Amino acid sequence: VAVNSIVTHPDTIEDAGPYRLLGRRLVIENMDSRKRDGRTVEEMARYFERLPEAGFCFDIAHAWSIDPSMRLAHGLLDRFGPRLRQVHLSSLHEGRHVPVLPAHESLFEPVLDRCRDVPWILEAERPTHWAPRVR
Amino acid sequence: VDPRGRETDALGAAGSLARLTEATGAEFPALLAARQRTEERLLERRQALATLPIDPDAAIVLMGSWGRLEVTAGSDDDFMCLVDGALRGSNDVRPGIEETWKALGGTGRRPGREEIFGVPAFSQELRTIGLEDDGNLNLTRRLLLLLESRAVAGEGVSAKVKAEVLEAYLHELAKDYRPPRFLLNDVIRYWRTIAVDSRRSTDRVSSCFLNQGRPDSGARAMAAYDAFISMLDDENARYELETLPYEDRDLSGRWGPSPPRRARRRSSCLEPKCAKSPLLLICSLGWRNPGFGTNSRRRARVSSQVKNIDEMEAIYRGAFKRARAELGVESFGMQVIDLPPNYENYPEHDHAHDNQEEVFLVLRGGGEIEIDGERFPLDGERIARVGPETKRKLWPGSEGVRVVVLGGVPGEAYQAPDITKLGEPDPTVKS
Repeated sequence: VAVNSIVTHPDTIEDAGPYRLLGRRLVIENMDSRKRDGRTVEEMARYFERLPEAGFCFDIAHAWSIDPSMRLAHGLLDRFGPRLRQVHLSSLHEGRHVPVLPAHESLFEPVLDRCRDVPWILEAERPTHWAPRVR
Repeated sequence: VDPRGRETDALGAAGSLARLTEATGAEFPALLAARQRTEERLLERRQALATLPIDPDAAIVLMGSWGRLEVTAGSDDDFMCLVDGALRGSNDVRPGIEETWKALGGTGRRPGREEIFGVPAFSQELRTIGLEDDGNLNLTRRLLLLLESRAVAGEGVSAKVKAEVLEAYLHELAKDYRPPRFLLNDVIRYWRTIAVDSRRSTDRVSSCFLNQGRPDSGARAMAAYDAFISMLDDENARYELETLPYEDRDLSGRWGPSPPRRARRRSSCLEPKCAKSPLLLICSLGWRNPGFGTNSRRRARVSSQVKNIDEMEAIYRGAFKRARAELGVESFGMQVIDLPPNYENYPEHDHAHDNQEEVFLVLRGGGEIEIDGERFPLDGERIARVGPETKRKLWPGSEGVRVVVLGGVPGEAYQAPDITKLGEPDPTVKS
């Protein structure tokens, strides 16, 4: 019962009605380049119009996969920052979520600096498991 | 910062909420609406008091959400009668507390229920800072005056007393630049008031985030507070939260994320991030004057209600208490009418337009009821029924009268007129 947030991929939402019952507990995550919806500011805005109470889960790797210049990441925060509830933090490497790659650290830093007051979920396996595969 | 002479904005916080919007694009519609509502209602309150005789050394100041510019549907008219000068009897101060309360509409908490507002405050006492003569009551009133008061009558007197109180706190500064110890002491004793209830706290908190270069976090904190204010102003939300047991707080979609454990009241804050902000405390203050929703699913949770008539929402300067709506009655009409002694202007009317028959029951006092031109006594021994087509008028006696009026349409389900619903405008108050 004591659930704060139910993070949802927007492309699973067909009928907003039942989701609306979750009220502020519903949190919608921005999607990566492989999905057909919920990726850009405009696409996300359509979900928040239908679910005005919903929070925003910012997946930085998903935003990067669409726009490696990070302009989309800033755009998402500019538009949905006040409803930001958590950050999903990782890098995408060969289609998998992995811990932030050294090459992304300085790229992500100014974006993450805007998100200091919300929880960050480290969305990857522990380094001991991924290190042999990635490096 | 020496606030003397720049009392409203010593820290340069004014406009910070707007700057937060400029910096982030975030909007705070409920906070801005509450500010505008506060200014509009202040104007109404000033007009309502304009005709009351007032001593040249007296002022009436409204407290709490009025001072914070956060008036909502749940706000009370807590006021203080302020006198610039030495102690004198309460009866020698014009306007009187009761008289002021009635002129303000007679709604909200009755003065005197808390000592803070029940008797006039004299500047001679307020300026007595420290040592035995400076009790908790005096300290409370002094800080409320400084932090969150808005004058609705005697503005000049109020400004003068505020300046004198500040001067009394700060004059030792001139001597040796020590921190003003009594002010620090009172600030520490009243840290909660300072941190939570200060005037325009939303601008102050916004300016802190801006000064720290954290506009995004500021926008989130203010957005959470904005949602909180919008709930305070929403009768249905207040009702739901009022009736929500603490254990069930996580079931409320309106509520969303759990409040931190240390906020023990059933109401708390909207987002976990509030835990880092002084606004958490605002959010955990609890609810006053709960309203009632119209949603039957919610109503079903409360099968009975006992309410104090004096605390019910009232219109027509307190004469018409929305008793039906306050108790959540839906199957018949019921209002409580309070008329002052010998009042002659109760409007004679009939109910031909809505075909409502009515019963008049005296609760207190007495008088007469005029039915189609003929007067009948109305008191604790007699009750009256009046048909829809019949003209009726109440004539209160020398003690005034409090009457319960029951109404309904023969053979039809009751439909509540808007005027009887909570939150609907008072025709005697200009909007």
